[in-house]
Amino acid sequence: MKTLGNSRWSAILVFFVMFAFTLSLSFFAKQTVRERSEFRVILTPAAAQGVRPTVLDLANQLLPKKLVQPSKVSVTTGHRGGIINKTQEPLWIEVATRGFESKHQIDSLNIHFDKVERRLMTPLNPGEGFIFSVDLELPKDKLKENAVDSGVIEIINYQTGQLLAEVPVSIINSHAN
Amino acid sequence: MQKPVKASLKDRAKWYLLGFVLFFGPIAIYPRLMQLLTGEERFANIHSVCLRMPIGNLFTGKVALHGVVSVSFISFLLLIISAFFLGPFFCGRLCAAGAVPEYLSRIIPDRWKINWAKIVNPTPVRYGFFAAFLIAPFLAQALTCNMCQFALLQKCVDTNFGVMSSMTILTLFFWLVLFGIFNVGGRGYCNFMCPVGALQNLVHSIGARFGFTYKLRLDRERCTSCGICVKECPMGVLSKNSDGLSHKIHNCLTCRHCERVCPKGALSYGTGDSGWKETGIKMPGGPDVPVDAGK
Ligand code: SF4
Ligand code: SF4
Repeated sequence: MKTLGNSRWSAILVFFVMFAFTLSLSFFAKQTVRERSEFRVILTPAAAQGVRPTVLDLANQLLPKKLVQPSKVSVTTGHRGGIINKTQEPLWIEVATRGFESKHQIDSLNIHFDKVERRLMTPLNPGEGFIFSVDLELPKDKLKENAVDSGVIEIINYQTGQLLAEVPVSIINSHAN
Repeated sequence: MQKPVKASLKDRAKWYLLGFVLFFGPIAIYPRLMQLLTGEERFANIHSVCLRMPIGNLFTGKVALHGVVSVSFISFLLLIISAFFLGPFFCGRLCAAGAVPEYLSRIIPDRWKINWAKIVNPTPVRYGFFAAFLIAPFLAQALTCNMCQFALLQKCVDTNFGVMSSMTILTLFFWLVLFGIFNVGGRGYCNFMCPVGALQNLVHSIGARFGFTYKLRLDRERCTSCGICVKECPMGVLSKNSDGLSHKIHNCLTCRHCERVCPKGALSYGTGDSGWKETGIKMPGGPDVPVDAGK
């Protein structure tokens, strides 16, 4: 069998085909961002803030996700800063949830985050950000319903008990009948 | 399996195991030590070493994403320096993410495997991927985390795949299945889609021009063109043609498997002249550097 890409011109052709294929993977990867939902929270000295509701639509799942892991979804702060402390004082962050029917857990790459207590064990200093995600295992029998699940993520200062922000989350499937 | 092949695989496995305990959690000796030095506070596993991020950010100006005194940036510098002087030492000796599919592919009968390196020259494929990987952050989405085979191995070890995106699922399929266990040699992902390997080989191809650096060498007097090394090379970078034996430096891991299996001792790793005659190069480094036919 003759190997493709062994002569100068076919090597150049193979290079550009792979280049184009990789770029298409990059566009595909961009589409996959919609398989999760992202929210941002700026913590200010004002009273508890209601953050814009975040909606995760299962209809945005691409084929590999649909086939392999349709019920595992993530609602996340994203990697660009996360929740940001814009107050003048350190905050002791706890992440609570209410209302979700699905099994879920809070995950963070921050080494000081205690997953069991759902607390950041060191203070979030002014200007700093905290990145986390709420990973849900949706009930399989509800995946094809219009309203799959909903709940609220609460950011609490666990030293004072003050509610700092609330993020309403709804998980829907706009392709459901 | 022949004795020297088995012995070489066994010895190489020891190195990859060392790489595994050095870089991957829960042991992850290297990031732990480096974090002591740098004062960085992150989970000790492959993520804190991340070699893909600095490469993916080569053109975005954020190569030292976590600062110059960070485990990731220092590791990136070590990677380049070692590639210049020693060849892709990380790939050839320490990368467990490259070794896992290679070793698993040996369990699968050959008739079920595709010889990708025979279908298409891996050199232009690798650099086509690498070029697009570098500009992807400007055009669409960076392919750093979502195509990371290191993260996937860490997930396997943690037995927790967490929430995966379609891109991660596709990468798992490429790394472990299509270009992994069902690929002759098991290293299709290394050959085609790993920017860490591509960068090292690019640096190695420059370093290998100097006498004082380490490289794979061929003793043309000893080589009988028996083809054992060609069959055994996990990257498929050796081939026999009318000119004799040829070698693609842009894809060689310097894993030294060929050196161990050669019955004539014709291949070795060391400094000095490589012995690969640089005639027949039709484009930089590829397709091949054939041995002098008139030996
Ligand atoms: S090419 Fe990439 S995956 Fe393969 S051995 Fe090298 S670093 Fe590891
Ligand atoms: S040519 Fe030899 S050293 Fe290079 S990848 Fe193949 S077996 Fe390893």
